[in-house]
This record gives sequence, structure tokens and C-alpha cells, in this order.
Amino acid sequence: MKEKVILSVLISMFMFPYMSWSDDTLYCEVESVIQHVDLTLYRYHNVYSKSPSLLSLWRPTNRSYFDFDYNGGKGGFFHPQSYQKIWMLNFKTESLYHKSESPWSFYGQFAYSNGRVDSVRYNLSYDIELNGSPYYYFMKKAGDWNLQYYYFDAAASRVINRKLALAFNIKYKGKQFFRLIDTRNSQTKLETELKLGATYTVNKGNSISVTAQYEYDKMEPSLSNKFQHSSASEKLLYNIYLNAGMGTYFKAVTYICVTTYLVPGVSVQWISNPSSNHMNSLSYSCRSGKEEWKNKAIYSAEKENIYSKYEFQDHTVSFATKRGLTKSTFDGLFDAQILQGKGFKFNDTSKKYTQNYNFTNINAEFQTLVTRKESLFDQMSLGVKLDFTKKRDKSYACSMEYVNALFNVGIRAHMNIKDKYLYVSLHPGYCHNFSKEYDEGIAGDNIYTNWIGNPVYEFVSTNWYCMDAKIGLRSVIDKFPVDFQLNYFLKKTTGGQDVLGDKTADHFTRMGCKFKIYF
Amino acid sequence: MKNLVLLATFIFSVCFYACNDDDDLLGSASIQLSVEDDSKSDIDLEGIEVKLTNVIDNTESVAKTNTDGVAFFEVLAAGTYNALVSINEPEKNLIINGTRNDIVIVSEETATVDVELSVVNPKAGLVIKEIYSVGANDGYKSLFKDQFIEIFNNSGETLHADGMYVANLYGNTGTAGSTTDEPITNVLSVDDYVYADFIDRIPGGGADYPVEPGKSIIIALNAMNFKEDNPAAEFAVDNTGADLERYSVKWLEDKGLMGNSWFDFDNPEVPNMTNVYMMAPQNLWLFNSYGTAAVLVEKDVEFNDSGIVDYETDKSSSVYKLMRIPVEKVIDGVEILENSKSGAFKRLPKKIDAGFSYLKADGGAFYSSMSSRRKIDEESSKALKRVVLLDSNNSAVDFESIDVPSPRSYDDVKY
Repeated sequence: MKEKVILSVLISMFMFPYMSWSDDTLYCEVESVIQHVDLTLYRYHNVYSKSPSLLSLWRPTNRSYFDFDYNGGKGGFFHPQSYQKIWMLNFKTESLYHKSESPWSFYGQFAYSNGRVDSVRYNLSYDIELNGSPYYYFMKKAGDWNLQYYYFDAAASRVINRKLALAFNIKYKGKQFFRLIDTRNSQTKLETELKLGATYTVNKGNSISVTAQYEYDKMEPSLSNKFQHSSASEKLLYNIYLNAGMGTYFKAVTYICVTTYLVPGVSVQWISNPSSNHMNSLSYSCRSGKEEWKNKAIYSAEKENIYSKYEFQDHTVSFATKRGLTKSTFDGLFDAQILQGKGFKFNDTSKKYTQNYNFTNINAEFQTLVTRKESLFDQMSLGVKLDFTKKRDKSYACSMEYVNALFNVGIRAHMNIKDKYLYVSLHPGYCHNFSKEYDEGIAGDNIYTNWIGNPVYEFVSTNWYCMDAKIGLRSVIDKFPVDFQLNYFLKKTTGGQDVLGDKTADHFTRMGCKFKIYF
Repeated sequence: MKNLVLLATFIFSVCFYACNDDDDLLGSASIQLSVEDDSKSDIDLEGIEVKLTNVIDNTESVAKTNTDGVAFFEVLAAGTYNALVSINEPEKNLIINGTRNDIVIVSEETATVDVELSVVNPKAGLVIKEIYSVGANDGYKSLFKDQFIEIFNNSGETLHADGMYVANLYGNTGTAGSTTDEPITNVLSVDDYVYADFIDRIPGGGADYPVEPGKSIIIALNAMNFKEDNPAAEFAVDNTGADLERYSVKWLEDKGLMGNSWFDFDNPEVPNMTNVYMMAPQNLWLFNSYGTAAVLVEKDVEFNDSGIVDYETDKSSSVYKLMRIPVEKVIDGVEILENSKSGAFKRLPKKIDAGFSYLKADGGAFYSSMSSRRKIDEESSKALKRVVLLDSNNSAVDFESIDVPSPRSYDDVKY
């Protein structure tokens, strides 16, 4: 029965843009501009950014915006190694620029975020499990962190001749995390990514793009204590461990590891009619990465002695389509990704690496977005995401796997008040766990199992629902369209399930406000 | 329809990858016991309990030997283990020890390991009862100035400590991540000699330092009350009751060297130990704060320059001048290392201390106020109606880690 309902909704979403709605009185110029910019950038991120040289073929309208956002959230239903409270201030600006007589097209983004999170448990590295890596510092004592993110993304594409366009894209992300209580950690991470791409126009409607990418990241923590924390009563509270699996870890860690990430990759994308209202795109990309944890003291001297390594590969297939009708557009996206990783831990007794950890994640996501210009309900969306995750520590025969599905729908209604545009949007969602299995193997008495494994398993295998509600007002200030927005987000376990053994642990809420100005 | 196809593809992929699993890395171990001394080969090796400790997660596995003296451990996580056998049967006056450190268990393989058992003749005499060396958890007020060692009379008659030596053995303790640490045994054999960086001697003419049965003498670095004016007094120690004090400033100055008058004080109320040897360029008698190996040495040994040996490693340009001590002259010794996986860094031979102890299994006891104390042998104490301490020559069994120092803690214990 449930499947039939989902299928009906899905079919309705496909049919939606072809239905005829009309209410000319609701049309608003401000909304038209804002909607156009938002949709253009939505398509850039989901379709065109995969191959930066597509900028030359796409040639979008020149647009920019500044976005200021402040939000705060708290609650007990959160990933055990994540935060219980968060406050973030975000600033972001994005621009697309193309001069009609010039062969160049540009995209640029700068973003900055500053915030604070509380009660991060069993995690001394903060930004953990990227690409499925099991390596991170952890300690029992929970901590508060200050976070800062800097993000710079620039792409430039040039038409070489009627058939060929070349482009580059450089991304630079700085992450600074400061743990504010002992054991303190001032950790910096710099992520740089370079893409070089070419698009060849096969015929009038079809183009092929090939892009090579190379990512290099470096993370360097700095651990220190301001106070003494070694008394017998604090026996395990302040010990530092380097996790290396699900039961496998390095203990009595007194050294600092510098972590480097090398991730080369390549992508191929076919696109038809990139600048028309009937665009289709199919892309495939793969990356092969290596993460290495090196003792900082030895790294400087000998450039060897790597404590642990993580190697991964991911393959992503994406399909995107856009259908533009007289008064509506339809965007459909499908992404499927397979990520597999292997961890290698150095045994300082045998002086050999042991391949002790396997990680697999397969996910598929389907999204639709329908936008109508002259309708009470001017935006509707539907999405389904399936996620399968499996991780296994071979040294302890400890494994965890689960399959989750996240369903979400969205609807936005609006009304005009004089020259202003008032809107309300609701995005309910539901996450259902279809299967779960956690076998502790022989890690039953292990601190990983007690501190991390059990609570994480409980969290990831819990059914929950959410509601993302927004109310906003769009207007014009000195000829520039602006958008004021208040938002509220609630995530709650089904049936009030108490996940982490705390009565407040069944929900998480976040509230925020946003101001966005368009140029 | 298209969505159903995609869903089917996803489910197929999940099933495919779920089935495509690698084998686990579990291993097993076969521990064969044998007796070191052929004259004791009549000892029954069946039913002896063997304990394997994973040096990383500290989990313990126990198995009993079969008729052939083999203990088999079927399922073990791949990693490094320490094996321990300890038999203490006071009624038979029998103590048997057996240890083997750093046993590597490899996946899908059975590690076959021999553990030799040594039969110990319990010496009822002076033993090291407690060593406190890691520093106090009192906001860096006491630092390491409060170190002490306590020597206990485990016999039934009064013994005299006059003329005996107390020495700190040199060597790394297995601190994780060190780029230069290596076991001293990589360079020097400890079969016949152990190697000290500091040696002091208990003064007296032969009858000045009597130790009654069940009582002890305390030798402090500084015989001061570190609880005084200390906001964290519960973590500090009062050393004013010490019998002896280690003071080396004057001794160094007499040699034209400079002492450490900031760390090393002289309480005129408490007699000083006689300084015998100190490795240059040290200027202070200090136990290793990450893990102490200390020995009590008989009085009939002479230490002079002929006993000094050079210790140098490939990882350091320094040459350390260590004084060798004959193992046969060691009355008692204790090996304390940094954590449970530091077994390779032992500085004492098995005949003195078959195992090793630590304050925290995962390390990090620096400035913790924790102390290593010898446990009471309950059965012997009840039988003899006085406090008798465990003395199986295996600190892994005999010693315990306690939260704060406990000088003379057994003085008021009655049986």
C-alpha cells in the first residue's frame, strides 16, 4: 500500500508541469528575478559545475547575490560524534558572468562561516569519516568547538572555436576548528581542488565534456592541555586515541599526525541542448583517493613512517533533465554513487601494514523540482534517497550495516501584498530504516564499541521524520530584489523513541533567519 | 517504471556488494608451557591458567593447559599480546612465573609460542613496597619533588637496611610516538647486569636502620610536606615522615659540578642517603617519571669507574655512561612501564621481575598522583598473622596501581 502511495505521488510530480494553472494576478516581478537566479544556480551546482567548460555553452544570465544567514539548533537526537547545540553565522556570495561579445564565461563563489558547537563526543578531530575513513582522534571527554570555514570557488571557461571550449575550476576551502576545553585542539585543514576540462560540440544539440580533477588536502591538528587531567578518577577521560576501525585503534597517543589527502579523478559528461528548455545531461565521474596519517615529528625528518592509510574509490552516475514550458519548469535529477574504501593500520610490533577495515556506501537519490510562475503553489518538490552503508573491522570481526531511505516532499505557497511577495514553504521528510545489523564480533569489551559503536548504530538505524518550514518576504530595496526569511527545522524520532538514553534525545530543532540580496 | 528500474538496480547493487566481503583477520594462539629448570621438570603442566592480554584494548583471554601443557586460544583479534602465567601456592612454598611479551597474532594463522616457567624461591626479606614517581595532580605545585620509594620487611625478623643500595635503572619506557625510544636491551644484555643512571646508598654502620617485620623505611627525594599550602592537598604527599632523604647538591658541588637547588632540598632533620653514582650531565636524583625500574642491591658490592659502560644507539648522538649492577646482587627489583603495550622496553631480566606493571593500561599517568604499590598476600598474612606482601618476582601480579601515594599504608593492618 505504501509503495502505491509513493508511486502515485511520483507520477503526480512528473505530470505536474503539464497541468494548466493560471492566476495572472499573482505574478510578481521580484519573484521572477529571484526565482530565476535561484534556479540558475541550482542547475549550475547540479549539472553544469560537473564540467566547468559547459559554462561556455550554457551562457546563463549574469547574476549575483549576497546571502547572510544565522541559525541555531539544539536537541538530543544527533549523531553521537556530532554536536548537541549549534550556532552558525554564514555569509555567501555567488556570481555568474558572461559578456555577450566575449569568449569568456565565469563563475565565482566566496563563503565564510563562523560558529560554535557544543557537546561533541568521542571526537577530537571534528570533521570525521570523510569518504568513509575510520581515522580520527577521539577521547572520552566531550568538547565544545569554534568553527570557521572559508570557501572560494572560481571557474572560467573560454570558447576556442565553434566546436571546442576549455575551462578551469579552482576550489579552495579553509577549515579551522578550535576545541575550547581540554584537551584543546587547534586544527587547520586546507582543501584545494583543481579541475581542467574541455567540451566538444558533436553536433548542434549534443556535446561531450571531459574533466580531469586533482584534490590535495592537508590537515594539521595541534593538541594541548591547559590543565592537569591525569588523576586516577579521570583515568579514561582524557586519554587520546587514534581510531583505526571499529575496535582497532592506537592508544597512548602522544604524537601529532599530519593528514594528507590526494584525490585525482576524471569525469565525462554528455549534455544535449545545454541552454535550451529541453536539456538532458548524463555524467559519470570517478575518483581514487589516498589519505595518510603521518607522525608530524618524523614527517619533517624522513617523510615516512605513516601510521595509517585509507584508500578509496568512488563512482558517480548522474542524470539531469530540464523541461521548460510556458509557465512552468521541471527539473529532474538522479544521482547514484558507489564509494568503497580500505583502511591500512601500521602494526608497530610487526612493522607491517594490516588491511583491517572495509567501507562501502551505495546511495541513490532522485529529486524533482517543479516551478510555476503564476500559481498559488509556485514550487513543489519530491525526493527519495536510498542509502546503504556497510563497514567492517576485520581485526575484530566487527561489522555494521544499514539501509535507510529518506523521502521528502516540498511545497511552497505565496501571495502578493502590494508589491511584496510573501511565501510559506513546508518540506516534510521521513527517514525509514529498512534493515540493520551490528555484529560486535570480538570487540564487545572494546572502548570503541561502548563509546562509539553502540550509540552510532542506534542513531543511524532509527526511524525519524522532519519538517523544514520557511516563511519569507521578498521585496525590492533600491532596485535590488531582497529576500527575508525565517526558518524552522524539526527532526524527531518516530514514536518518541529515546535514542541515546536521555529523555530529551528524541528530537532536534533548529531556527534561523536569512537575508539575501540579488544583483 | 523508470523509477522502479532504478530502485531494482540499487537493490541489486546493494546485494552484490553485501555479498562481496573480505575475510576477517582473526587469529589463534597455541601457548606451550615448559619449565626452565630441568630439576623442576616434575611440575604438572596440566590445568595451568594462561592469560593473554591484548596490549591495545587491554582485553584479556584465559585458557587452561591440556595434558601436554598447551593452552589454546581459538579466536583472537589480530594484534599484539602479552602472555602471563602466575602460580602462587604458599602451602607448598611454590611460586611459578612465566611471561612472554609482544606476541604477534596474525590473521588466519595460529601463533605457536613457548613460555618458559621459572620456579621462584621466595626470599623472605626486604622488598620494594611502593614507588611514587609520576608527579602530583595538584596544579604543578609539587611537580616531581615529592617522589619516594618505600622498602618493606617481608620477613618475620628484624632486618637492617644499612649499606644497601637503591638504584634507578636507565632506559626508555615505551612512550607512544617517540621517534628515538628503543628498548635498552637492543644494545645491552640484561642477563647478568642491569644498568643504572643513579645509585645511592643507605648510610649506617650496620645497626642504624633496623626494619621490623611488617614495617618499612621511606626514602624521599625531598622530606617535605607537600600538602602544606596546597589547594589540592588530597593529591599531594607528606614526606616529612621519611626515614631518609636523597640530596645531591653538595655532593655534586664537591665534584665541581652544579646541583639542582630548585628541585633538590635538604631537610636537616632527616638524614641523607649517601650518593654513589650519578650519570652526567644529570644534576638530580630522579626516578623516571614515565615508568620507574628500581632495584634494591646488597651491601657487599663496590661501585667504581670500572663498572661504567657506554650506552649509545643509532637514533641518538648521545653516549650515556651507565653503572652496571650484577643481577645476582639484586635483592629486589620492580619494572614499571608506560602502558600495557610497552613490554619490549623492560629493563630488568625475568629472574628479577618476570613481568611488568603500569599505572594506567592506556598510559598517560604523568602528573596523576598515582602510585605503584605491592599487594598484600592475604593467604600468607592470615597464616602467619602478620602482613606479608606478594613476592612472586612478577610485578604484573605483585603490584597494583593506586590513586594516590600511600606511605606506610600497611603499618596499621592487622591479621
